[in-house]
Amino acid sequence: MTRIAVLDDYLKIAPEVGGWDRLPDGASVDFFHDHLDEERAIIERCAPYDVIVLTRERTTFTRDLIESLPNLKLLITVSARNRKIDFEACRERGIPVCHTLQGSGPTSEHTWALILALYKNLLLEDRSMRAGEWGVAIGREVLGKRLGLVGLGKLGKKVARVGLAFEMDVVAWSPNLTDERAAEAGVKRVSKEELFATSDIVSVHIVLSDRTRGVVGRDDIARMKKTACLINTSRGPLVDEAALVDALRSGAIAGAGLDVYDQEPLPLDHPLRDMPNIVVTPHTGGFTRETYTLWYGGACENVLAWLNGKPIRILQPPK
Amino acid sequence: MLRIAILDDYQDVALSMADWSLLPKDAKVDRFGDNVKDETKLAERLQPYEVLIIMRERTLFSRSLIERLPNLKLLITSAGRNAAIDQAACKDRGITVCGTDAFGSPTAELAWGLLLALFKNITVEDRATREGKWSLGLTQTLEGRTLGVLGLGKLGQRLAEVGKAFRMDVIAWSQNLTDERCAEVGVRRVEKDALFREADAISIHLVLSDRSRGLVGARELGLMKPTAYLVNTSRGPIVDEAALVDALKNRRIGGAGLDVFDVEPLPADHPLRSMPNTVITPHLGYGTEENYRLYFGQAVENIVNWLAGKPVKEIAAPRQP
Repeated sequence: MTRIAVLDDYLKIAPEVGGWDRLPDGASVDFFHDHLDEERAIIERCAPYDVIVLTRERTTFTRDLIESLPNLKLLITVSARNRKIDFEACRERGIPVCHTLQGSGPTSEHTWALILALYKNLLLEDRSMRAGEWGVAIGREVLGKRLGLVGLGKLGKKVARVGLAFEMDVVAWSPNLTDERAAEAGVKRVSKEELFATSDIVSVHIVLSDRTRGVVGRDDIARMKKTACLINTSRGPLVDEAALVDALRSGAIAGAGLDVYDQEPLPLDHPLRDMPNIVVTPHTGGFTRETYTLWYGGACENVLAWLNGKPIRILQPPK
Repeated sequence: MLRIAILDDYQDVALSMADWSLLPKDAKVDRFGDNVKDETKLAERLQPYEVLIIMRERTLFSRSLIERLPNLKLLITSAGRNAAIDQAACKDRGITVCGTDAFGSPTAELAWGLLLALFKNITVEDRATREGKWSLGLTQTLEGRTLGVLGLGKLGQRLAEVGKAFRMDVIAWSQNLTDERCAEVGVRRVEKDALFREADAISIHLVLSDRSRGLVGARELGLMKPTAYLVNTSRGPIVDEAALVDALKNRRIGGAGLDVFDVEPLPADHPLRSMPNTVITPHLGYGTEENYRLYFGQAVENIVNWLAGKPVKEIAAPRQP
């Protein structure tokens, strides 16, 4: 008997898209749709299982937790990266950590949905239309505005391409960005200071690591124009969230479009749940139906391969 | 005294968007924020004014209205075209009609805003997050999906270019669309029914004329995929509104993003105000801050030049379709 648990499936989609009927007799899957924060509760829930499938980085797998799960034999994380697993503790226990393929692209599309919702006041206008009103705000145009991209990897480049199609002035910065790579994407490399001081829209597209944590700091936000907006669809801790809240409250910047936060789910009483000049979505940017199929279907394949004695897509500890 | 009125300034922005002090001292500017449809009431309100500044097609300037405005000498409309003005009647009365420039392609930007809000559940998720919830539904990917563009003029082209930048498959149709034009924009020309059948999202970029009125009717909506979205930022009457309400109510299409309606302002009790699978905006179209500054700035300029007997941006009567 192999018991498998899928954690943090908020959308209740894992049962539908995983193709779990491919599992042999004797293997059973349980799905958990709520999120647990408290370690004792997590241990209690996970203790019976041989295989645990993690949905992104929603639950942290610490050494303590891993050592408290005697039955655990295989840990699977959806997508291609997970920085909330103690890999050393897994290695010591002989537990392989596997990953799935990663959907690409939708986060860059989500970025544009947030930018345009802000620029056209879509939420305010739609809400007031439903309340029986007509015309409450005036929007702005992205044409001719400066889009500043922090990070010009795969996603940053996709965002740049659309900015260029809207005839925006697109600039980029990242610690290792060269003039050549910027030029290849059709954008101009600028210094970090210039990016924050001159952009009308700043959007973050960088992988979270110890080096990039807080890459958008209080000083950077302070440099932004009063009319500028900040967009974050990458990871919450890339941005100094307290500094962002202060800037939004004081009107030091005009607005923000956010899909990611320091703590997710965003605490109920968090100020970002209730600000007029922002658009907030619950980390749904990367989560399209297409992506979920890739993830949970991939997790099922991981289980099958491991049952056959040949685990696939072993995840290496992050450097 | 020169009396000037600004009409349909819904958002109460006209007075802050231009330097009205450039007008002579004896000029008095009044602004109206409400829309009056009743012609008698409207004639009564506008009767004292020599100069009227009107926004796009928010108020209809028919021959009968124009003939009831004895003091009117200069009629200024935003942008370079206004199908709601009877220009022949103005000419007969010796009224100068002039326009302003318009900036960019904000209507195409808005169409993308509506499309993305639908594909990514932006309005629904934002509302839920503010209400203390977390993660209601799945979003959808644009890449690889099919975008159908009705009308490949300047705005349709901009819409298509952005669709291509999202790596969508872009198809287009309009009555006189040629293969050459499609090749120039880099999109695929299809027949009308094929566009409705194949597209995952359809955006309308046609001028309203007798030919385009009701172009998207019950039959066309019936051809659409049950998951497909319809976006209209052009003119309400291009779509059969009753048929659209019906399709939305019965979930025969995925949803709609609407900036334009048959009657504007949209009546307060209209069913489109309360449909779940829609994103609706109040004819924002060209009305961006950048354009309002241009419109009202040039309106002031037009008045100053007209008073000085200098040329103004007169607009020609539209060609009859």
